[in-house]
Amino acid sequence: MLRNATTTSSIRNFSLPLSLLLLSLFLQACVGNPNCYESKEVLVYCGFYSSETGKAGSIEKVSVRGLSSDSLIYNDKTLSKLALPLRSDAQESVFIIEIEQSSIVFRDSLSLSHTNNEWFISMECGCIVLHTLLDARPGGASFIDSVCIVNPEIKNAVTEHVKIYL
Amino acid sequence: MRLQNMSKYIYSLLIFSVINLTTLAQTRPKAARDSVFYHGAYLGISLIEPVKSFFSATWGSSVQLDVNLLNRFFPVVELGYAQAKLVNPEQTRFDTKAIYYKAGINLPIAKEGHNAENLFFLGGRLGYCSFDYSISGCVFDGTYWNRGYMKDFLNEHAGAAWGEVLAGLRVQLFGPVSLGWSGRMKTTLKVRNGERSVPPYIPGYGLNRKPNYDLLLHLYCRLPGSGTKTNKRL
Repeated sequence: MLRNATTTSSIRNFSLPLSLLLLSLFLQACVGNPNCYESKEVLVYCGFYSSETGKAGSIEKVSVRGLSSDSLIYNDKTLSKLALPLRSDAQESVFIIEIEQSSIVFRDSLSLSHTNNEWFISMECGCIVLHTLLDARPGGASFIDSVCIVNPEIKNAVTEHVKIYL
Repeated sequence: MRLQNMSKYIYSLLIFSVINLTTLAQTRPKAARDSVFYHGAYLGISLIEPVKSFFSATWGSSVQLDVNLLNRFFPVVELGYAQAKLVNPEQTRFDTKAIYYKAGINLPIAKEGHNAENLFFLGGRLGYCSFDYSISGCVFDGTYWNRGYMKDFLNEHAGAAWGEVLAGLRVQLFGPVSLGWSGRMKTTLKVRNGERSVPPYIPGYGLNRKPNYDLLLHLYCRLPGSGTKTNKRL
């Protein structure tokens, strides 16, 4: 009788570490997840700003495409910022930006010089190409006054990298 | 399937033996503090890790040496070898093999025998591994500018330090031979990535995630000429 009571007491004393151990082993079965929860989109984010006031603004009827490409990245959109993919096969990416105002199309370009860094994230997510911005230049032909790099590291996160002053 | 059933049986047996051992230790009157400093040393080899080569993408082997001091402290050093060949659904392959090192201590919660031949313990480890690896068939998705392509990252080099907390059991089978297991929770303290990649696996640590878990089974052999019989001050 006494031995039974002691046994019960002993088991109770060790029930916490044993439970923790069993729980940790149970968790082991749960943590293996083959899905990728990390974004694989690596884009350069460019915000529009007024060259007079320095305040952020948005522009109507904006169309954007890559130089020597017919495919549009944006088509007649109202935008406050651009999210642009950079070339991974070249050190410079050039974008043609068009704005339509009163049936007149204004066209300018944005040239971004950058490095390409191929990066393996994980077995679940695979690979992405990261970039570092070296230089940003406007075409100077039309409505872009100047551009300025605020964050040169282009990773798979949404943060402003370039300011475009109009 | 048969192996799974067997492991369940072994696991149940081990849990049962933990409860029995703790019960035994608790029901006996407490002995006076031990005055003998050195109570012997055990050499242990891992049993599960080598067997994993038959059914898992990661396997290896390890030996550990622990010393019984005052029947209360068990400093441990561990030397292991681990190898991994991982493949994802896109057929990207990760290969590595390396030697890793661990050092730490086990503290008995319950023990039985003059030289703590049977014991249930909690412990901690610090581990380190510096290793080379290669990733082949990395798939880069197509973008606005170009089509997708594949590339290999060979000769990548990385390093990692990690900590482990563990609970385990060691039971004397016969003579100098004992069997024991330990359940471990691990976390990386510092990982030095490769030049162009994050290593998905760290030898000795396992998959590169936080936290990580492991269950190890060791066969121990008490080293000859070590330990005492009844040198206790009562």
